[in-house]
Amino acid sequence: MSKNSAAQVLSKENLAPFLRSLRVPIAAPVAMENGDVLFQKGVAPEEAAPEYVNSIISPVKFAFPQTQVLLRYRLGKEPMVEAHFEVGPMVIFGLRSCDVTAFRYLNQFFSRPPVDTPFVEAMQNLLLISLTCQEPGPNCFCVCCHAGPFLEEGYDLQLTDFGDKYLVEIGSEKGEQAVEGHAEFFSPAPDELLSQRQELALEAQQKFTISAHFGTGIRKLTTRRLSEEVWELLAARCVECGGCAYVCPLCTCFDVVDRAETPASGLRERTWDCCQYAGYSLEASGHNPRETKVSRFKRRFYHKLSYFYLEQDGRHGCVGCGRCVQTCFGEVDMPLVVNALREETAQPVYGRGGAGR
Amino acid sequence: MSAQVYLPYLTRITDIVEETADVKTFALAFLEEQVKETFTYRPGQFVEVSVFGVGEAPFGISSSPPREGRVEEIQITVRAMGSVTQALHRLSVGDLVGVRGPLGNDFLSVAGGGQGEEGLKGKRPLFVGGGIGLPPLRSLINYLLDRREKYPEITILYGARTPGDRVYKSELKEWAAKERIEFLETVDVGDETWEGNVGLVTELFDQIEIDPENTVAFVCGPPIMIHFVILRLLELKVPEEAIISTLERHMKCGVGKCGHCAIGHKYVCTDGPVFSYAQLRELQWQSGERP
Repeated sequence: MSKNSAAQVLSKENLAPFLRSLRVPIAAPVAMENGDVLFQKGVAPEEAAPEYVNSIISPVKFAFPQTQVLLRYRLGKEPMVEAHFEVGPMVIFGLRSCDVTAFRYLNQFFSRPPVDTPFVEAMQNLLLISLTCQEPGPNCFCVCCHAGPFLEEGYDLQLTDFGDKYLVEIGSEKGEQAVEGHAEFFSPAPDELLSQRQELALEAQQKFTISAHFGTGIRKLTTRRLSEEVWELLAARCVECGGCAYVCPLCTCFDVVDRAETPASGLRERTWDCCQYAGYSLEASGHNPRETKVSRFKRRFYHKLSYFYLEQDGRHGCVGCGRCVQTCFGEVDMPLVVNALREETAQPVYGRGGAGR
Repeated sequence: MSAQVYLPYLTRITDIVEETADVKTFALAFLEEQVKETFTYRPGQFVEVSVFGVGEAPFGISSSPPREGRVEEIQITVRAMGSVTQALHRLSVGDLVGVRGPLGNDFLSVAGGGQGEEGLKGKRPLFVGGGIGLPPLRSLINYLLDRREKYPEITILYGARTPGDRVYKSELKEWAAKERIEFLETVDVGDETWEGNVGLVTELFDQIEIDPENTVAFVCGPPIMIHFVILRLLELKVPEEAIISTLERHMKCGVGKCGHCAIGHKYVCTDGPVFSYAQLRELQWQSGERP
C-alpha cells in the first residue's frame, strides 16, 4: 500500500465524532489530578489528553495486562478446565510512537510458535491510532532506537498535529478500513502537508536531550569485552525494586499463580514478573542459577542488547520511551547503562542532572 | 475460544508408586478420548503438571511411549520439594491433575545430530544417572529396550546417595538381569544391607570399557554430578557432540514466553531441555552464563 497517496486530513473537531463512530471502547491518555497521565479504557473521546508527553505505564497493558486470568477450573463430578481471558475490539487513541513499536515487538514475540493466544487475540482486536511526537520529553530517546519520534510503519493510523487539524497516515489494512468506513470525516491530504510533515519529523529529531549509543553497547556486550568491574559498579546501584521491568513496554516476563476460590474450583492467572528479583530463577531445591545481583543485572541487559536476541527479534529490546529513566532510583536506566558499556565506566556519562525526576 | 497453549488436559491419577521416602511415581491417565487419540511424545520431552489451586511445575516424562497404539497414560517421578510437588505427594489415586505438553525437544533428535534416530546407528548408548536424575533417562532406556534389534548393547551407570534413595528398584533388577546390558550402580553411603559399590558414580567408569568414537552418553542428575561426569567423559575422549544432558530450571509457562528458564538467548523449555555438551559450551561462550 502506498501510504502517502492514502494520507488524509482530519479536522480536530471531527476527531471525537470519528472515534465515536468506530463504535468500540476507546482507551486514551487521561490526565490524573497529580499531573501523571494514564491510559484508561472506556473514556469519552473528549476526555483524551493528546498534549501529554508519555504515560507512566505503557498502553501495551491492554494486550499484556499486569494480571490476566488464563483459565478457570472446576474439579468434582463434571471436571472442566476452560480458557478464560477476555478479548474484544478496542481502539487505543493517542499512543506514542515508542509504544506502537513496542506493540509490534511484543506481537512478534508472542506470535512466535507456540503462540501466546491471550496476547495475540487481544492484539488482533486492537486498532492503534498513534500521535507523532513533535516535542519529545526530557527522558525520551526513541530517536536512538528506531522507534520515533515519527514512524514510517507499525501503526494502524498515525496522526500528526497541525494546529486545527491532523494529518492522518494509514499504515495497515485495519487503518484503511477505519478511514474508508467513515470517509465523511476525512479529506485527501495535500502534498504540501506531507512535505511539512517531513520537516516536522526532522525538527523533532533535533530536540532530544538524551542520547544512548546502542551500537557500541551492543557490540561490547555481545562480544563480552567488558570488565566484571563495570558490571559490578552498575549493579551496585540497582535496588532490585523491579520498577524498570514493570514500566518497560518490552518486558515480557510473567509469573503464573493459581487462586483457589473453593476447594474444587478456582482460576489461574499470570502477573508481570521481573528478572531482577532473587526469587525469579530460584529452584525448589534451593539452587539458584542467578544467585548474585550482578548476574541478574547482566541478564536484564543481555536480553535487551545481545546481538543473539537482536537476531531473533529483529531489533534490540528498547524503544527509548524513557520510562526506566523516570523510574530507576539508582539511575541505572537504559541510556546510562548503554553509555557506561560504551565508555566502560559506571559514572553518569550525560549530564541530565535528574531530569524528569 | 481457540485452543491455547496454557490450557492443560485433565488427567486422573491411576497409580502411585512410593520409590523412596520422598519420591513417588505417578501414572496419569487422560480423561478425554480425543487426547488419548492424539497425544504422542518422545523420550526426553517434559510436561507441565497442574495441581489445581496450587500451581504448575515441569517434569520429564519418565515413562516410554508405546511401540504401537495410543498413549493412555504417562508417568512422572517426583520428589517432594516445593509447593507443587508437595501438593502432588498429598494426592491419591483417583484425584485429578492437569497436564500440558508434551513440551521441549527430545534425546534422540539431539543425540542424532539433526538426523534423529538415524544418527545413532552403530553407536553404543551410555546412560549415567544420579539420584532423581534417572527418571528422564528411564524413558529413553525403556524406549531403546523396546527396540533391542537396533540397540543390542547398552551401558547404564546409576548412582544414588544411599540404598534407600534408589528409584525404580524392581526395574533396576530387571535391567541388571538382561543380557548384553551392562548395568552398574553405586551409592555414596552404604548401609548394612548394601553389598554393591560404594562411591561416586564417576568411579564406575573404572569398571567399564568405552570406545569413545562409538559412544553416545546421556547424563542426568544433580548439577555437580553432571559437571564431574562430563569432565570424565571428556577425559575418555568422548566427543562434545556425543555428550547429552537434560537441564532443569525454574520454569512457569513451558512455551518460551515467561522468561524464567532462559540461559543466554535460549530457553530450556523450547530450545531444550536436552542439549549436547557442545551446545552448552557455545551457550556459555555466548552469554557468559554457566548453563
